[in-house]
Amino acid sequence: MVDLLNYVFNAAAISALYALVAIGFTLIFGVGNILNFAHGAFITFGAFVAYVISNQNQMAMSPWLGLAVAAFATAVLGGVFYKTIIQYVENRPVTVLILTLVAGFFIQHTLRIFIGGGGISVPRPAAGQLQLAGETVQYHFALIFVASWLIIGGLFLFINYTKTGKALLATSMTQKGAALVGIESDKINLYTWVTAAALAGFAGVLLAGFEGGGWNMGLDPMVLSFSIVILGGLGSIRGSIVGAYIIGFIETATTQFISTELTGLASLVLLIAVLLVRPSGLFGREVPT
Amino acid sequence: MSQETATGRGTSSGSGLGSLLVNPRDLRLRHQVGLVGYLLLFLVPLPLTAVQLSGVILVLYLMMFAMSWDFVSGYTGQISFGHTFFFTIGGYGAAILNVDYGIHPLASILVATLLAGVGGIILGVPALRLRGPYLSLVTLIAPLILLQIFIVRADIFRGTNGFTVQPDPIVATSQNAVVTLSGPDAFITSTIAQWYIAFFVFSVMLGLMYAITRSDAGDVFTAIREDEDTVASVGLSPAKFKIFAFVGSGLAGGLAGAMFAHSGAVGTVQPGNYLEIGLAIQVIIMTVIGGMGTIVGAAVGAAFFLAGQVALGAIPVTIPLIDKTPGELTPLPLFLVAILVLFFAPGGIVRAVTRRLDAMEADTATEVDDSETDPLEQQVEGVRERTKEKLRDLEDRL
Repeated sequence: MVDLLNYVFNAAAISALYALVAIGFTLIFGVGNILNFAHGAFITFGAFVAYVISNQNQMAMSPWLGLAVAAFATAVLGGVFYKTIIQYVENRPVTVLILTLVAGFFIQHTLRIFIGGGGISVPRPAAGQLQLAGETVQYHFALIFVASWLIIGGLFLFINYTKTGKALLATSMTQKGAALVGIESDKINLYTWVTAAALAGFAGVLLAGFEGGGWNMGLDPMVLSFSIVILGGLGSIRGSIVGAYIIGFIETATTQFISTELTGLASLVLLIAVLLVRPSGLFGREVPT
Repeated sequence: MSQETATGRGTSSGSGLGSLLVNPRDLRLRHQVGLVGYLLLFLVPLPLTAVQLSGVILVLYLMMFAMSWDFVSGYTGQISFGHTFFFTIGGYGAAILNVDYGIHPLASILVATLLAGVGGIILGVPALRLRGPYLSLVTLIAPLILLQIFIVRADIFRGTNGFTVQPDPIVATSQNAVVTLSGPDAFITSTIAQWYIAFFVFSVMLGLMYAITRSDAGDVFTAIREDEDTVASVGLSPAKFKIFAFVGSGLAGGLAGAMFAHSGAVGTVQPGNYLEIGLAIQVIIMTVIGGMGTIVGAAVGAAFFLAGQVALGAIPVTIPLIDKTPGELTPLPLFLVAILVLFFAPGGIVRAVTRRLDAMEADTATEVDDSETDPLEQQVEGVRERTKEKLRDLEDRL
């Protein structure tokens, strides 16, 4: 019984983190119709910014500051990325595909060359443990869980109750229709990329605090985002959250009860299965064929 | 209509092998340039030392990797992010057969290549159901799954460290090679032999791919990239051609991987050389820079990429503000070049160059001799005169 509770807490924390990682990705696809293969780079960038700010060998400032600056800096990166690159090649699907992948790796290699190629250690904003229902739970896990749901709640309010949010929703349904009612897709796309990048950067910091970071840390979370988002349905935030929890719980179960070697394999296999059987996922739109 | 084209050169006539034996002076300028490049590549070993040559051999394998990618992704537009899947099946397949089961290298290469062809079917089948980014996602994941399998079954696949015992080289100074050389010049001779073996395979691959892509099948590939539904609407099966492209690409990639594994020191069998996503990105970048959808562009891009890296590494100057030498900045500059190419010259080097060559060719074209035909004005005058005469005749009769 103790094991089960431990498993649930672990899985919940991981799923919450995955949800944060995946939401940004699904936003960009839902609204801009672009699979952002640079998503992993954004995650890594956030982690590295926090590293530079809060690691004791670097600027050694507060980890909370690191978290905030990381989210902000990655948001700026996302905006710049959209404005200088994506905006001009949006309608060339093959080009965008390759471009985001190459640019993503460009960013990651830049981080490797200029900051560090080895592992980076990002201190946790909330260190220590607490007792919860007889289980010892890391504060970091609790932070992840709480932050994740706060952000999801904020996003929900934003999208459903603000004008910009509704415009975002409209653009995700039909770009032409949105344009017809006066919504400027350029601005909306910019907001989307900025928000998605901020989320990715934020998640990157927490991820690095979870299991350490490095210049190559973005690939696995990115693949995970794919799995989650495709399982949940591309373009559906609700789907991403549900998908994140499904995959998070399955992952944790696999590593905790079967074998630690199989990390990542479960989600990969699940992804392929979903792609072949029901590409539109649980809550998603029809896959354009 | 004159048989002479505007360039003054004769058009190639006839079909069959006879047309292959064409006078080089009759070729278009762009083909002449290509031929020169090919010859230069053939002559690469001449000025190089053995050590230099053994470093450069890598370029031939990268060219083959890139061409295999271009065959499917450049032509049919099914962008594969996981071509390392094929290289790995080829390389690791040959390695396992040779090292663990003692199978002769030539046989292991053959079997591994065929296995990679099967891998092409495995990747090609999702391509039938998925389009665009979704397909690219699946291709991205295939090598990742392979890597996981390698780690989980490290007993067979040697995990992340790779093979400690390398497969038998085809030509080397060591005892386990298919052809063992000895004597004072053995090392340089074996290195040169390795170059030409790889060059031979590269040439065959280039020739086959060139022939296929410049044929009707190649047109269908390009058509699939442009508009798959239209291809289906004219009665052709896009599925068949897509599978064909993937299998062909898989065979090529697998052959290159298998040869690489048996090449001696260069292609040591470890995930870094065959499986890692870094290699997949490199292959894509090379082909993008060279020109997607040309086959030749892939080879050119690979050469450019490697030459660029060598050149950058050789510059000893430290860039002031960022305090790094160009060599330390690898691979950033080449990534940047690829991004710029995607932005401003999506056709790549080969297309830009051939366009320039074609323009030069047209400029130096000989003037067509038209002194025997009446210019338009004279003809109009002639018609006017004859009409006036007929009118006068009519008037006289009335």
